Amino acid sequence: MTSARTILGWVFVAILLIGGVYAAVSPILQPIRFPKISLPWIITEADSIIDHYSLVREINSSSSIKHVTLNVSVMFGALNLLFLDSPSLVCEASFRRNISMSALNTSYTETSGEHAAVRLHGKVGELNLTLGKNYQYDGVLDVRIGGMVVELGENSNISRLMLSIRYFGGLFMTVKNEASFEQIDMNLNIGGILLTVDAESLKKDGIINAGVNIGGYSMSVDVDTEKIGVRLNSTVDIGSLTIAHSSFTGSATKTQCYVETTDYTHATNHLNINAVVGLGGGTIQETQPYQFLGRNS
Amino acid sequence: MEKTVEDQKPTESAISRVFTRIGGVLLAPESTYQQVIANKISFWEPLIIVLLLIGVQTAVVVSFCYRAVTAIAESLSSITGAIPLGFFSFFAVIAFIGVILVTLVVWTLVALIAHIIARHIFNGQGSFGQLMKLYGYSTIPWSLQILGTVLFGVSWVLWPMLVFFHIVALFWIVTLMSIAVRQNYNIDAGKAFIASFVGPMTVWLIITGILWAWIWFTISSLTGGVV
Repeated sequence: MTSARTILGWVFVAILLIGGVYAAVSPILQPIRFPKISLPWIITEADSIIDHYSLVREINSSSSIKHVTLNVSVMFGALNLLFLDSPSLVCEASFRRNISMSALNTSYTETSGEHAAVRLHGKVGELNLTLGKNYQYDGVLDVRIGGMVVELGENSNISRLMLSIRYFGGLFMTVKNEASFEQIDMNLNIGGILLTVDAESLKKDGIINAGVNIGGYSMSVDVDTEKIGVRLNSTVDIGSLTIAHSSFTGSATKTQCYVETTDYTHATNHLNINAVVGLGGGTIQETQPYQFLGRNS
Repeated sequence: MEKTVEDQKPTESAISRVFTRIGGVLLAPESTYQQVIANKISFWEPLIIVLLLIGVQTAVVVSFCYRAVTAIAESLSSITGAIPLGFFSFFAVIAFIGVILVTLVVWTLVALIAHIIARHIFNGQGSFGQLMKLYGYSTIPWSLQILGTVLFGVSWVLWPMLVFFHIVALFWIVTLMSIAVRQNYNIDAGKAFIASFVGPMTVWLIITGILWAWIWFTISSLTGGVV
């Protein structure tokens, strides 16, 4: 029986050896393979394609046009808006998508002597929209699910623009020096709004209305308070507000605030921000603590 | 199972005696445990056995995890790009250290509970150190679990073998622990079973119950008593 015990002892050691050797060699000799997953709404370099669309004065747009109404939508993906120092540019769009997804649907109509309407509709992809400096724009930019990045600088000229994330996503807007807009409405169902106001001056008074059902907003304001008076009127239904900006004074509770920069009344231009949050929170501070994904500035 | 204490041949080499003891634990645990107690075998031997068992088992599991993670990363590479897997070596080190620490703690606690029950409740005679040694030997059937994991790794369709070996190993270990307590404290089998299995399981259930109650009350207080 002793020999049987010894043999069993050897079997024990053999099992340990087999286990050790198997652990060492199995990743090389017996790799697991799963089928490659490729999602049509995820764009890779290999299967991406870019649709281009542009409207330029006196090439495919008449010279009498002064006001352009935008109706831009992306069902799933990203929308970036930028203004360029280009006097003849009405609108330029590039839509990066998966080759298997449908192309950007476009239409352009000149409704009256000075008015034109641009309609761009993309299903899944990344739409980069560039607008010129010599036209006044209004309309709607709509993303169902995804993100939107808007930069308003010295070339911007907006009368009233609605930015909407219909279901969920993120909205990042930067107001830079000499930006010109009358009213921006930002609506977001679920997600977050990052608003950065980094300007010495504005061309005119502006209003920003922000509404978030579930999520919140983070606002950073870095302005010359003598030239730009910023007022924030905000409410949160369930959640809290944080005012962490030394230039703002006024009344603030956990769920409601009415604050404005010092010298608001005497400032050259005014920026009034109205923000309503359902469930979530809002913060205002001097520098933006958060970054929009994929964006460094 | 043999019930007599066998004298080991003096001609046997040290390594052969170790293998005989390992095989003896599986074939004739009572006599082998008596032998371990009588021969005052060093604590190093069961300690090395336990460390080898959990080391190899952890290596097999970590290797399996590495294969699975690599496969998932490759499968998703068209979406995510190349995912660096350098973190895995860190994970492996943490897994080894964690498993060794947990095993040593569990080994000590289970033996301590059994010792307290056998010695102070059932008035058995025996030392805690000796029980630790015997408990170390009692983990030898865990090698079946390693075999099951290797078979499962070779082919997924062999999962019933893994389950079977796991159940057999657990029952065998519990039985060996009961025998260890009986031999060490010279108490009857029923008391030994209570000391080695029922006692630690009761403590485990109490600790788990307290933990769940704490989690429940924490969630309840966070949700204002809704849950």
